[in-house]
Order: sequence, then structure tokens, then C-alpha cells
Amino acid sequence: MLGFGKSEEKDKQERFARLVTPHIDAAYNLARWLCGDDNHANDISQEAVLRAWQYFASFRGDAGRPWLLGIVRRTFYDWHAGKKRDALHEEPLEPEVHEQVADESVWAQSPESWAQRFADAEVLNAALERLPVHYREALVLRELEDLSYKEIARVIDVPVGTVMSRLARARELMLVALNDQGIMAYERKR
Amino acid sequence: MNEKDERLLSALIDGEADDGELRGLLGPVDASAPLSASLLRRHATLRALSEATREKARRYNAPLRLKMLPEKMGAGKPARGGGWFAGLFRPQMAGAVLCTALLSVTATSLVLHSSGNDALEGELVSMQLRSLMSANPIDVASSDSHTVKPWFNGRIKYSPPVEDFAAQGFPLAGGRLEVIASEPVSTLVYRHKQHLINLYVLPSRLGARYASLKTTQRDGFNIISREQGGFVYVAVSDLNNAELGELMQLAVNAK
Repeated sequence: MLGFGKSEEKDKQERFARLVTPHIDAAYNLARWLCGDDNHANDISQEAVLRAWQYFASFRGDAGRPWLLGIVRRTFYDWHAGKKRDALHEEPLEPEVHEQVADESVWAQSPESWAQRFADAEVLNAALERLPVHYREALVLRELEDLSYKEIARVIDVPVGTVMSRLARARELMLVALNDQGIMAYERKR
Repeated sequence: MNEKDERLLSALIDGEADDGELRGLLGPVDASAPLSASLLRRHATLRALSEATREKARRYNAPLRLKMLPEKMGAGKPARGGGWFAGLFRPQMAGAVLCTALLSVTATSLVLHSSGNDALEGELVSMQLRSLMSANPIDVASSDSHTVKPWFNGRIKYSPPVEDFAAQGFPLAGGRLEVIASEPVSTLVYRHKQHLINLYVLPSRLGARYASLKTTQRDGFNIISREQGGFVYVAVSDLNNAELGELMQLAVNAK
């Protein structure tokens, strides 16, 4: 009995090292983009790795990456809920209903004029940082972690159709921000 | 353009659009019928945005302490496979913690990628990780190539070219020995901005298999290899590819 338990433990360790450990960079990257600073990203991803180890027995299949990233995301939202009392940092977690809709002028710009705006990494990163969190997480999972729509759906726990709308909207909001140079104005005000 | 079409266009960029729906958006499949200019413009804009985001958005790497957490939890000891990494390891240089952490990293790469170039890349990356984790990744610390070059004499069986490129932004930090395929190999350490670069210089007879790596990426590290004048140069760093290529060019031309 004891011997059996031991080999099971060893099997669990081997599986974890193979399926989860390689994705710790991705976990940290997501946490960092969600919460916005190094210290909290460290806390959140550390907690997520601990949870992953704790829940590992219930994990089936081989897709360790979306599984771990889903835990990171939930850990972030838990942390955020705890932080809510600290009203200073409050950021709405639900997608806003009355977000500004891109007017057609955004789409009328020539690819050349966009190329100039996209060239500035600082502005691009600032625009991504300021996307509402639901759009930001979708875009980070897609563009930085290169997850498929199905995997993103699993991580953020919504249907694939919602992933599609979130990404389309996220991109539109990026264009609006980059078009307005609203970011620059925001930076100056700070 | 309605919302459904916007979603579809965005999904098209991601290679996730449904064929049937796509036909609805693009109209009857007829090569002679040009797509509308506004549709093409939207598509080009979205694609450029996606590419720019992939290229320019920051990627944050986990601190080493976090990477070593599974090990601390007892979750980082996969079954040891193969023996090729045993010769790479020099226990006198690192404590036991570092030792097990490295073995887990290496063995993980081994499980995931076990053949051909994958194994070579894994080997290079694990050496890079080891030098990053080590408090002192340098055996002989000097920016003077006339100090570093003689240091290798008697330690290895060949005389590698050693140059400082401080003027070009890549100061030589020193040198180190690595053991590759049970042969001691000269390793030059350069710094660039905050990055550490390991440049392995091997005679062609030892390094032929590395020459085939050319330019590749593994676990967030860039690897560039070149063969020139009887030596194979292999540069490994978390520095971006373009700047790593600059150093490679300098090293190869200096010979």
C-alpha cells in the first residue's frame, strides 16, 4: 500500500514537471499583464503554481498551458476581489456596456499611416496596458501566448463565440486608442 | 460593416474564421470579382496591428525563484533520462539546490524534445540558465582580451580568437570553460545592456553539429551559430535576435 502511494506520487511529480513547469513564464507573463506590477505578479503566479500543484490530481489531458493559465486568471480575480476594499485601484471587471464604438474614420486610415503608429513600442504597450481587463486578457492570450480560440475559451471560461467578439473588440479599442493618441494625452496628465 | 462581420474579419487574422461564414462575408467565390477596398484596408490594418502586438508587446519572464518553485514543492523531479547532460555539469561551481534545479530544467527539456537539434538547443539553453543562475558566471573576469585568451591556454586544446567589443556596445566580461561532449570548450561572456551573452567558440571538428542550428529560438533564448575560419561560434542569450546577430557579426569578422 505504502509502496503504491509512493510510485503514484512520483508519477504526479513527473507529470507536473512535464506538463506544468514549462509554462511558468507564460503564467508570470499573464499575471503581470493582468495586475500591472512585478510584485503582485510574483505573488499571484506563485499562488497559482501552488494551487496547480494542489489541484493537479484533478487535471486530465495534456494541455497544461491553458490549464495553468486558467488558474492564474482565477487567482488574479480572487486577489482583485480582496483588493476591492482598497477603492483607489478599482478597475471594473465586467465588460463595459457603453464603450465607445469606433467611428468609421478609424477604419478609413491608410495602412501606411497605421504603420507609423504601430512602430512605437511604448505607445503600443501603453494602449494594451489600458485596455479594460476582459479585452486585455483575451489579447494577451492570443498574441503573446499564441493560444487558439478554443484554448482561450477554456482559460477565461466563456464560449468560443465570446472569445471572438472580445478579440474583435479588443483590437478595435487598440486602434481607437492609437488613433486618438489618447494614450499620449493620458501620459501627460499623469 | 456589422458586428458579426467585424468578428469574422478579426478571426480571419487569427486563422480561426469559419469557412462558410467567411464565404458570406467575402461574397460569391469568384476570383475575378475584386474584394472591396474598405474590406481589404480593414484586413490589412488588423493584420498589421496583430503583428505589431506580437512583436512589440512586452513579454515578462518569470523570476528564477518562481521557476524553481515546483522543485521546492517536490514537483520538479522528473525521472532522469539519458546521460548526455551529466558531462555538462560541474558540481564544484554550484550548490546542491542549483544542481537539482538545473537537472529538473534539463530533464524537462529532455522529455519534451529528445532528438536532433532539439537536444542541442536544450543543451545550450540549460547551460545558459546555469550561467544566469550562478552568482559568478565567469571563471576569468576581465575585459582585456590579452588576459582572457592566455587563460584558456593549457585548459583547452585550441586557441580561440578573443576580442573585446566594448566600442560597439558589447564589452567582454570574461571567459569560462564549458564541457560539451566531454571536451572543454572556451566560452566568452559578453554583456549588452542588461543581458548576458555566452559565446561558445569551438573548433569545427568539435562543433560541426552546432553549426546547423543557424538562427533559432528556444525557451525564450535566442541561439545563433556560424562557422568561420575553422571555428564554430554559438551565441546564446535572452537578448533579441537582431542585437545578438550584431555580436555574432563582430566576432566572426574579427577573426
